Parts: sequence; C-alpha cells; structure tokens
Amino acid sequence: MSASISQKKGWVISRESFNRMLAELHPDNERAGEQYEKIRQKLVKLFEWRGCAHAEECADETFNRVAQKICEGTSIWTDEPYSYFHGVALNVLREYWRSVEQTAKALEEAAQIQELSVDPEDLISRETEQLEKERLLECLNRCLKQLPPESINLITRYHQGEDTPDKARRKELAQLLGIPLNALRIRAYRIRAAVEECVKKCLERGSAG
Amino acid sequence: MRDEADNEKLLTMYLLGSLPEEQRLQVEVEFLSDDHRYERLLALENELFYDYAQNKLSPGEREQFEKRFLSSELNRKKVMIASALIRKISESASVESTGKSIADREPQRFWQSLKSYFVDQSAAMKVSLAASAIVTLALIWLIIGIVMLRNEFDQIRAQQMVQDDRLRQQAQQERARADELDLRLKREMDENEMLQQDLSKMQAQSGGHGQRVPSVISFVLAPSIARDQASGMKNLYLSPGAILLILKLKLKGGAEYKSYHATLLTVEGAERWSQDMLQAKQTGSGRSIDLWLPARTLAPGDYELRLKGYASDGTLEETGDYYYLSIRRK
Repeated sequence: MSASISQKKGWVISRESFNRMLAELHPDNERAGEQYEKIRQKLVKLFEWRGCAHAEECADETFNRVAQKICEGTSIWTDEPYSYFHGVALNVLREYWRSVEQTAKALEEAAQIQELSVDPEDLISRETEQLEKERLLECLNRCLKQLPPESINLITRYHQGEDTPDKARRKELAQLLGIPLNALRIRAYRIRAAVEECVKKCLERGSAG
Repeated sequence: MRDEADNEKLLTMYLLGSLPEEQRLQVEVEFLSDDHRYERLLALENELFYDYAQNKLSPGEREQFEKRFLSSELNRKKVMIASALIRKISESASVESTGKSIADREPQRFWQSLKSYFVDQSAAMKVSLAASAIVTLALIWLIIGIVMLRNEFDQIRAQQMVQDDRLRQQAQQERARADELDLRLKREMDENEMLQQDLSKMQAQSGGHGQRVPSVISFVLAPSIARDQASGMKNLYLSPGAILLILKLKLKGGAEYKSYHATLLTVEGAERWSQDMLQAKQTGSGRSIDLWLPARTLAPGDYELRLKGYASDGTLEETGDYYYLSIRRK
C-alpha cells in the first residue's frame, strides 16, 4: 500500500472500530464475519478488474475508511451496504491512480505491460524452465485424476470441438443437460477453478518440499 | 437470447476494461449486490483465460487481456495452467473422439426420448411411474445389498480355507518331526543295547584274568582356537577293551542354542558318526556337551568334530567351534 496509496489522515483502524463496523454489517457476529469476507472478496475483484495492481490493499483501505466513518458517527447504511462500500472504493481507486501517475516505478510497470508476449505457448517457454513445466503437468494429471469422469467430460465438451463454434456447441450441451447456458458456464467455471486450485496447491507443495 | 448475448459482451468488455464509465458503474453495482451475477462474472473472467490460451480472442481483446491481466505473476500462472489444461483435454478428446463419437450419440438420443416420454405423460401416470421407479430402486438396492453380503461371505470362507490349509500343513510338519524323533530314539536304544552287551562280554572276559580294563573312556575336548587341524589336534588313546567314549565338548562363550548337532568326520571329509538334539549343560568351568560314541566305530586316525546349533526359529547354524582329535589304539 505504501507505494500506491496512503492511509487517510494517518487514521489507524482499531479492534473496537472494526467490531463496530462488523456490528453494522449484521447484528449476529458470525453472519457479520461472513458478510465482511464476501464484501472484501468482491472489492478485491473490483479493484483487480479496474486494473489496480494492489487490489487487496485497496480493499482493506476501503474497509478502514468505512470503519472510520462509523467511528465518527456517520450513518452509512441506506437499504444496502454495498453501494456505500462501492462509493468509498471508487474514491480509493481514484487516489490509487493519482499515485500511480506520480511514481516513475509505476510508469515502468505500465511500460512493461505493453511489451507482453502474444502467444501463451511462448509465455510458458519464457516464464518457466523445463522442470517447472513437467511439474505443472504432473500436478495437472494428478488433479484431473481426482475429478469425477462426468466433470472431465463436461469441461472437455465445453472447450473442445473444432467443427462447431463454441456458442452453438455450448448451447447444445446446456440443452442436453437441461440447464440454462449461464448455469452451464458457472458449472464449467467451478470445475476449472477446482482444478486450478488443486494445481496451485500441488505446485506450492512441490516448491516447499 | 439476444439480451443474453449482449449482456455477455458487455460483461466481457467490463473485464477487459473497455466499457464506458457509466456502464462500468452499473455492472459493479449489480455484482456487488447480487452474488449470482458476481459468480457469473468470475466464470466469464476465468473463461477469458481459457479463450486466451486457445487463441479464441480477437486481436483487440487479446491486447486488452494482456494489458489488463498479464501484469500480475498470479495471472500469468493462471494462463499457464489454462494452457496446460486445454492441451490435456484436447489430447484426451482426440483419443476418445474416434471411438466414442458414435457411442455417445446413442445414449443421448435414448435420454432425450426417455425425457420426452416422461414429459408427455398425464399427472396420474406420472405418479404411478414415480411409484414404479421407487419400487425398482428399492429392488436394485436390495439386490446390491445381497450381492455385497455374498461377496463378504465368500471372502470370509476363502480366508477360513487358507487358515485351515495352514493348520493342516503345520500338523503334517509336527507329525513328520515326531516320526523322526521316534526313529532316532529307537536307533539310540539299539545302540545302547549293543553297548550293554559288549560291556557285559568284556566284563566276563576280564573277570577270569583279574585285570581291570577301562570300558568307558571320558575325554575332555576344548575347541580349537583356529580352524587348523595341525595346531588343534588332540591325541586320544583307546585301550582294546574300550566300549564307550564320552567326549566332553567345551563350548566357547558365544551364542546359546536350543540344542546342538554334532558330526564326526574323517580327514577326508567322510562322515563317521552324528548325533542330534544334544543339550548343553552348565558346569563349573563353563558350558559343555557330552557326546556318547561307541568306541568300536572309531578306527585309528585323525578326525574333525563339527558342532552346529539350532536357533530359536529352527534353523541350523555353525557355532564356530571346531574340535580335532586323533584316535590311537594302545
């Protein structure tokens, strides 16, 4: 956060102010914690999708600012807490972009972004050594073995098929499964996300061991 | 469907950062307040990585994707995983597609016709079909249960048979061992009887001459330090009337065995005599074994006495003790 955005007026969140913010999210502690996690995840993605390189820190800064407002006695909720968080997040984002413009380092990073490779195959060969690739494939094989055959079948059909365009093939697959296209997309996403998570953990175990 | 496609395009533009600010805010308000929309956006984002890995993005989208996502190490890793996964499923699909393409279509048709059959039925018919389905499922469950029980029973029976076989084999081995011991006992009793006869004969002969000839000779034999006949050889003089030779073998301190086996060999290696199941006894000067040999079986000459021990698992091992003796007649 230090390079990207400073904490507003040097205000530091305390346990008390954090708890007060949680209590505003939901009267029940457990539910409030769940709400906090959900909003935080969404804010992190919002910052990422807005091109922020320090998404987690910006999300935390958003919470700090909301907690500060609550401590100052500002009533933040209308019917819906998200819109308030959204507004604060956009302010944090604006400040972030201003700080990016001011730092040469950030400009260098931006320049690097322009020079990125085009072909994912080239990307693999440039970024990783042969051993790393082998390890990735090994992990992938192991993770795919843990998947039920119907899940492998679904993502294969979802992504594979040279004779028909993606849209037509996926529509046909959704009809066959008796679900809307969106539900099929989410189903395929959940399978891929599970594989990615499994591979990530497997690679981490490999590099740790 | 048109709206759906438009919406997808709009969300893709949001993810690639090419949506005007007003619409961008609208998308954000929606996904912040609606978990389903949020997951949909996550799914679309994830799919972009796979489309990128498969070269399915337009040149403009590709550039935007690289600019937006590939500045982070984490996302570059995601592209690698996506690329590897796509390659993997393409390989498996190309292997399976030739064999399965026809086979896959048939179950689909069957499933579709089954589905349409159920959809076309009246409500009463649906209830009765559902009831039949429940009964059929219950029957299948029952059959599976019976089959599993039978498998379990077969396994137990097979284990029982293996155990019976093992017990039978053990009994046979024990019987064979008992027979062997009987035989050995009988042989030693015969030998003993013969020795008794020789002894009485000698006593009768010597009685007339008033001469006492030692009929039993006892000789203590210590193990040789090295396995070397020349240095370890002990001379033993047998008188003509000697009937029984008792060799007291001193044992070295080493390992203790359940019982011992002794073999007397000529220098040429021919076996002259052997005895099994010998027990060591503790004496004042250490542990020793008594060997009772009929003197008449020992022709004058040099001999080696080998001693082996039975370990606790029944195997016969070299004790490492070697005894050498030279028999001479007076």
